[in-house]
Amino acid sequence: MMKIFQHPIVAVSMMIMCVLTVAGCEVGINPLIIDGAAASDPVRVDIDAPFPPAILASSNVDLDDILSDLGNADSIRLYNLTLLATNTTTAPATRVNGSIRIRMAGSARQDTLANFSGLLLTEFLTERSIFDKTISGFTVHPQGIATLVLALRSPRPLPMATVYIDAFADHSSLHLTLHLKVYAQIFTMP
Amino acid sequence: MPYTSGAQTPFEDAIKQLSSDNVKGYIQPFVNGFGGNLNSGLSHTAAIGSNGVFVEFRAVGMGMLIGDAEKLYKALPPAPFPQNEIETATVFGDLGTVVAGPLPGIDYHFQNGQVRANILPFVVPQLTIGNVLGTQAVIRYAPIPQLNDFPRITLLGGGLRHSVTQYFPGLPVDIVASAFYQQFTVGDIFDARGFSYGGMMSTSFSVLTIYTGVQLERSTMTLDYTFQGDYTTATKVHLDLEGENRVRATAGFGLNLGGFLLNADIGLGKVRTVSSGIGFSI
Repeated sequence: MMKIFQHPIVAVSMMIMCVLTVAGCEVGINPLIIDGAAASDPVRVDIDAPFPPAILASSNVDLDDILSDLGNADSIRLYNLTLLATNTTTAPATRVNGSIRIRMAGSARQDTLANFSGLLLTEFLTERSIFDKTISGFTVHPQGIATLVLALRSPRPLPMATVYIDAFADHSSLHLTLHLKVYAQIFTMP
Repeated sequence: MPYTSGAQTPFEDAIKQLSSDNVKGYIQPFVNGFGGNLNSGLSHTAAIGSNGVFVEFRAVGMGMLIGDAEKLYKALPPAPFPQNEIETATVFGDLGTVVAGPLPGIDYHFQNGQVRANILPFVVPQLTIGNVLGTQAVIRYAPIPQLNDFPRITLLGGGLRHSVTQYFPGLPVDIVASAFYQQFTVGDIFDARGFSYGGMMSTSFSVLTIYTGVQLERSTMTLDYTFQGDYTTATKVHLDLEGENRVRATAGFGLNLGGFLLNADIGLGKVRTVSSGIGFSI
């Protein structure tokens, strides 16, 4: 019976079978990229014109939420930062001015993420990237972004970030809830 | 929104991270490969007796050959990155392309390839029974458990082969017409089906059989998953993907060594497949 396998045609057939059966299909050869996000606690803003002229509100963002229960993260990279305004009773045409700053836990320094001047409130009634260059009156500051990028590269657990928002509206009251969200890509170990 | 899909395999996780527009390109070679494999290796001879007991059991191995065309596709990065098509890795490719962002330290990495292989292999057991009026029934059933990082696969299929030769006595070759339908699930998020019909002719010299055939085929794969990648809510994605292989020409040879069967063939179409079988018949 074993002589059958010594026949060239049979041997080739067997070889093909073996190749098909054990041909290496290596799975998981490269780092898997998982999207993660961390949202700020909602920041409620209520200003009845004409007083007070500006508000200062703060909210925490637990950057470790990006990783959740993912245990084998190798590195994390920021790819988007968004703002969303909800529960607003402010007139849609209201223009707002102010800034968003960020401070990492353990640091006294606040870095500006963005300034806005004459920003139409309607721009953020749907979630928008702060990097969207079509938003008029909104300027992103590289230093604040760099602080966030650096924080995402720090050892786990990732730090808590505090976001400060100061804002005032021209000729109008301001009632809304702001949400800041950090989007990142997590690279798992292959 | 925390990542919550840790129970999936890396393969499934990779797919989940892609938007529905991009997932088609990322997964298309996999769809083509499985569809191509599914419709492979169904026959190895066109000779069918008119009546009598016939039982044949074979283990059929098949594989789509993976070349450069199966390793790249074009995709769009998410906003706010420039909406220009980027060539990046499919599931069979290497590292995904990196798109530079608006500021240093911000960039977008397309998903990396997750499977390295020159061939996408698949092995199924196949039972053929007959013969009634020159007709045989073919059954495939393969419950394959999860192996390492590759998700579990369940295949169930069946078809009929009918001798055309019996209507044309004196033909120098045997001719058979056939139709097959198969269904399989891969992991928790794939459901795929394959259908093929065609004709084959063969001729035998002692223990050697040479065969060739043409078949029309269709394969579909349905994906249902939750896309966790962007913005405020998780998005449920339902995708119907279709294999690109529609017509296939097959050529191969087989050996019948006293009921011990061996065969090998190659299929040429939009995708290139090879298959080989080993088994016995009574």
